[in-house]
Amino acid sequence: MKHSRTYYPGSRTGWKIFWMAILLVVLVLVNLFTGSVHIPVKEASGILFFNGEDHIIWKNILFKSRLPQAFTALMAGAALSASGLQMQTLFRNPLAGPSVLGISAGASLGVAFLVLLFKGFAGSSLSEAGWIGNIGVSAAAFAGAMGVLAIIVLASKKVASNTVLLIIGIMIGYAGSSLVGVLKFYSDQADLKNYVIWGLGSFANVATAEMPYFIAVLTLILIASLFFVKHMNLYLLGERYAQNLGVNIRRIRFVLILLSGLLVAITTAYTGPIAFLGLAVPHITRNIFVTSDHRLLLPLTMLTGAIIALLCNAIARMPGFDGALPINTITSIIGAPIVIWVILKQRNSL
Amino acid sequence: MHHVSGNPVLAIKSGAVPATVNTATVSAFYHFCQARGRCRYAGVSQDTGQVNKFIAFGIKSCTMKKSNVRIFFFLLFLFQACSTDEASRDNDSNSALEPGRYATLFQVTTYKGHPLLKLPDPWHAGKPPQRILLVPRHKERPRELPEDILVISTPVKRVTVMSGTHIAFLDQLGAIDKIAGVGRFGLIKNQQLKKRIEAGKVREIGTSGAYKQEQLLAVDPQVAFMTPYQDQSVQNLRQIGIPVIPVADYLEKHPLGRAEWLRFMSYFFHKQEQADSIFHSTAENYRTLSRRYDTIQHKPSIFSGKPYGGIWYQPGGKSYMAQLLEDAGANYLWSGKEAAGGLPLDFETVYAKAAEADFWRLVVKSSHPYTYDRLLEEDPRYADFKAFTQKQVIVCNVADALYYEVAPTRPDVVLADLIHLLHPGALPNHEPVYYKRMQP
Repeated sequence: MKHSRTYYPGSRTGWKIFWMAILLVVLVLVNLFTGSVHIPVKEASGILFFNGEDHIIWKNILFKSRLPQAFTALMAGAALSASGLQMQTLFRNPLAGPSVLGISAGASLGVAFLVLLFKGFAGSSLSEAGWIGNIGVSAAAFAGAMGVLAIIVLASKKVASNTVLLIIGIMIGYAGSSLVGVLKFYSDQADLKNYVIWGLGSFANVATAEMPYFIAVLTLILIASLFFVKHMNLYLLGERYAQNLGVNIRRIRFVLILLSGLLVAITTAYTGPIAFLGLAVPHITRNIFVTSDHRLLLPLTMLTGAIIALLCNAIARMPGFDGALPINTITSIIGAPIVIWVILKQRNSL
Repeated sequence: MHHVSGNPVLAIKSGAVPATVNTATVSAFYHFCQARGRCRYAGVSQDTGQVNKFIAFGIKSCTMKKSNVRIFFFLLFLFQACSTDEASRDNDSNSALEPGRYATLFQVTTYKGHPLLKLPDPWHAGKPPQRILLVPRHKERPRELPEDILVISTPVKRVTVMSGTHIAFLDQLGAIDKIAGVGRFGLIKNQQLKKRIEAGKVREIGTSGAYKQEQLLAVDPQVAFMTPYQDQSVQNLRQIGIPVIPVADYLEKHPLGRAEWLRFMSYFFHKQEQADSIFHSTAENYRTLSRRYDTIQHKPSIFSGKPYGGIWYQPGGKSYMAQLLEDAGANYLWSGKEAAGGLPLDFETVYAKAAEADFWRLVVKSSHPYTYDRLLEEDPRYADFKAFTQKQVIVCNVADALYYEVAPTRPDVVLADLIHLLHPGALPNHEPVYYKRMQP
C-alpha cells in the first residue's frame, strides 16, 4: 500500500479506502448485533466490550455463534476474492474464478466420496456419523480440492498454454461433477440432503476451537500472495512480455495456482462451495477503485471481499429468517447481476 | 370386505375437536366429502372420452356468440356433473369399508362389490385420487372399468418392497414369504427376510430413483409397494407394466396414521381381520398411554436433533414427532409452529430457546456407544445446554434399534419409551426399545 500513493496520488482513493475500512468495522458490528435472536444493542455491547456476565445465553450466542461466524465470513470473503483475482489475472479471463479450475468441484467430490465410503466401509451413514461426519467433511473437501489442485499444478508444469490449462481445469470440473452425480444417484435421502445442505454453503461451520488455525493459515497465505503482486502486474501485459522482462513464467504460474488453490481448498473445506464471491468481487473492486494495479487491487479485493461476505452473512441472518437462509442464495443474487454486467461490458469493448 | 363398527371415530388432531364427536356426525361428514369427491372426479375422468368428443364437436360446429358458448359449456358441465353422479351411485358404493380414522392418505370403499383403495395425491389436494380395485382371484373382473382404475388380483403371492417400514408391516401380517424383491440387500434387517435372501429367493431391485428395471421385470411382481416421492417414478414404472402401489405412510402426521397403513397393505393379502386386530390393539395401547398425561401440570420441556451445515432442523409443530412428544406429556418447544415438515433454524435460535430445556432428544447412528463425550467432541457449545449438563439426553441409536424400520408400525412402544424416560417413575416395568437415556 505504501507504493499506492506514488502511483495514485489522488486523495480520492485514500478516502475510498478509509470509508471501506469503516464499512468493514460497521459490518462486523452489524453481524454481531443482529441475528435471529434479538439481543438489545445495549446489553450486547455490554457483554462484548465490558465483559458483562448477567445473561449467559446471550453471552454464549455472541461469543460462540456470532463472533466465529463473522470471522469466518470475513476470512472466507477475503480468501475467495483474492483467489478469484489471482485466477482472473493468471488466465487473463474475466470469468475465471475458484470454480473454474475444478477446485471447488474437487472439494464437492471429496465430500461426495465420503458419503459413499461411509456407506460402503463403515456401514454407517454420513447423516449420523457424528464428529467423524463433521471433521470428515472438512477433511474430505480439503483432500478433494488438493487432489484437483495437484493435477492442475502438475499440468501447469507440462503445459505451456494458459488456455489449455484453463480447459483442463474446466474438464476436471465437469468430470468431478459427473462423479458427484453418480454418487448422489446411489446415496440415500438423508445423506443426499446433508450433501445438498453442505453444497448450499455456510459460514457457521468453523468450530470455535478451530477458529485460530483457520484465521492464521488463511492470513499467512493471503500475506504470501501479496508478495507476488508485481508479477501479477507483469502477467497482465501478456506472458511473452513478462517473459521478456525476466519473469520465470512457469514458476510464477505454479506459485499463483498453488496459492489461489490453497485459499479455495481451505475455505471450501469449512464453508462449502460459496458461489460467485471469487468471480464477482475482483470486478466490483476494479469498478470502485478504477485500477488494475495489483499492488492496490489485491489487498483491496481482499477488503471488498470481506465486506461483501459480511454483508451477505448479515442479510442471510436477518431477524425473521431464523438464520437459516443459505448463504449461497444471497451471494448468487448479488453475484449474478455482476457477472452479467461483466459479460455485457466485455462485449461492448470488443 | 370387513366392516368395523362400534369403535368411536377418533380422527381428532391435537385436541382441536372435542373428543366426544360421535360416530354419526363424523361418518356423515365423511360421506359428504366422499360424494363431493366422486362427483368432481367423475366429471374429469370417467367419461373423459365422451366429453372431449362433445367439446370438439361444439367448437367445430359452433357459430354461437361468445356468451352463448359460455352458457353452452356451463350447461354441459352441469349436465355432466349431475349425470355422472347419478350413474356412479350404483357401482361405487357409498358405504366406506373403513373411513380412515388416523391415516388421511388412503381410503377404502367398494366398487361393484370389490374393495376399492383410493389414494389421494399427497401434494396436490385438487387432483383425483389413484384408484386400485382388488378382485379376488377366483372372481371375474368387472367389465367396462374406467381406465384409471388399476386392477389387482388378490391375494397376491409375489411382491417387491422398498421400505424397511413396509417390510415391518408385512412381518406383522406374516407375509414376509411373499417378498420376491427388495431395494437393497445391505439395508435389510428382518431375519426371516435375510434367510430368504440367502436362499436366493429375493432379487435386489434398487432404491428410489435408481431402480434396476430389468431385475424388477424379472421378479414380475404382482404388486410393487413403493414409497411415493414427488417424481414420475410411479408413472414410469407403471408404463413398463409394473403394478406400482404407492404406500405413503411416511407422510402421515399422526403416529397412529402411519401405523394404520398396515390395514391398507392387508387388503392385498386378504388379511384385513388380522390387520384390524393388530392395529386396534396398537391404537388402544397408544390412546391409553397418551391419556395418562392429558392433565399433567408440569410438562418437561424438550427439543430435538443436532445442527448440520449451520442448519438445525426441529420437527414442525404439526409433525409426527411433535404429536408423539405431545402425547408423551412433554412440552415440545416448537409445538406452536404450524409446519408439518422440519423447521430450518440456526444455532443461536435453537440455543436461545432450548438452553434451559429439560430434555434433548437425539437420533444418531453409531456403531460405538454414543456418549456425552462424543457429543461434546462434535461441538463444545453443546455443554451450554442444561439437558446436556444434567445428563438428560435421550438418544435413539439406529445402529442398535430398528427405529426407521419397525418403530413406525409400533407407535405405542415408541410412546411408552418416551413416557418412561421423560417422567420419573412412569411405567417402571417398561423396558425401552428405541430410546435410551444416553450413557455418561
